[in-house]
Amino acid sequence: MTDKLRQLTDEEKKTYEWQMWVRDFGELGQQKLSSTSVLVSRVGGLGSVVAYELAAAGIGKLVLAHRGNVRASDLNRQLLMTHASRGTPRVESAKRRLLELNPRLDIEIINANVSSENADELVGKADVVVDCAPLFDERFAMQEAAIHQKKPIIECAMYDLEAHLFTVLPGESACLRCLYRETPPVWKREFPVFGAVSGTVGCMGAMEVIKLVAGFGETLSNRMLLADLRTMKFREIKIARRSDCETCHEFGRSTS
Amino acid sequence: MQVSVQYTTQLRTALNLNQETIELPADSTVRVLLDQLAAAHQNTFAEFVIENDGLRPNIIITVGDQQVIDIETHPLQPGDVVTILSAISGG
Repeated sequence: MTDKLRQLTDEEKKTYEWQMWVRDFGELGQQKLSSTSVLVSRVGGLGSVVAYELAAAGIGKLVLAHRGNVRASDLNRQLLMTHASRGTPRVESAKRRLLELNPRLDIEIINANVSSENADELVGKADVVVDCAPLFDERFAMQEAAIHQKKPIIECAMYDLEAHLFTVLPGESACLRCLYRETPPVWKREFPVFGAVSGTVGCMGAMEVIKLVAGFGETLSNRMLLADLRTMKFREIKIARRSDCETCHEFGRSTS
Repeated sequence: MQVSVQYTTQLRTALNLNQETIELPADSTVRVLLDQLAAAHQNTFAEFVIENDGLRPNIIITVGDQQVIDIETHPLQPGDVVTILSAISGG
């Protein structure tokens, strides 16, 4: 997050009036949000909603990374894609929809997925990272870059009607590799899910960013939210850093 | 003693089972429970949970709300709720 806060215009004060009434957030929280950049990878079912909620909340800048064109099978959950945008780049559809909502938003789009080759550069463009990627190679590459650059990362995940969410504070809380050392051997990029599930997780992921940036509430660091929308049971588990974690061991301090 | 085992995500789908109650000898560890479950659900546990006689590196076990760090020594108590979590992602 930048130290220099941007002053709000009168139009912005009107637009964000209702959320500036939130206890502990206020105009200062809005200024912090408006001065912050967030990398969202990718803008699928989860990332579309993360980006949309952050755009609505008045985030300063979004960096959106997602390769490929809109397909029919995206449309049950990727809410920044439209029927008419099929066959065109996803990031272009996402940018168009976001600017319809918030024309003040600064958006940088990258028609590529995060990889070990570009992770440092893409993470370097943002203050906060939201991981919504389907492939574990992408997730691990982004995780390593974010931790190396000491940038917080929100981990969003879903399957069927279940969701996992947690926030990584480099050097302070468990990272993705602390929990999962390798790509699951049976994981498939395509899996069963409803848009209402990805939307739920995306909203909660965006809220983690807002709390983190504005400095209020409690983030999901060193704990993971488990949501089961099949039974509507929500619970949290305590998670811990691994002392021999390949990604965050450089910070030394470990709780495990 | 009895403990409850909750299955999640892909494992829940593969087993077509949300949870089950397991009878264990007193003073059992998580390892004893996993051995018993692996025997009961041989193919699925071999695919999703157990690898080379240990836990697959993409699996988390919790007892209550606590992550289990060492399955060999973590003791179980009557009534414990054990959850087996597999890594999932976005899309």
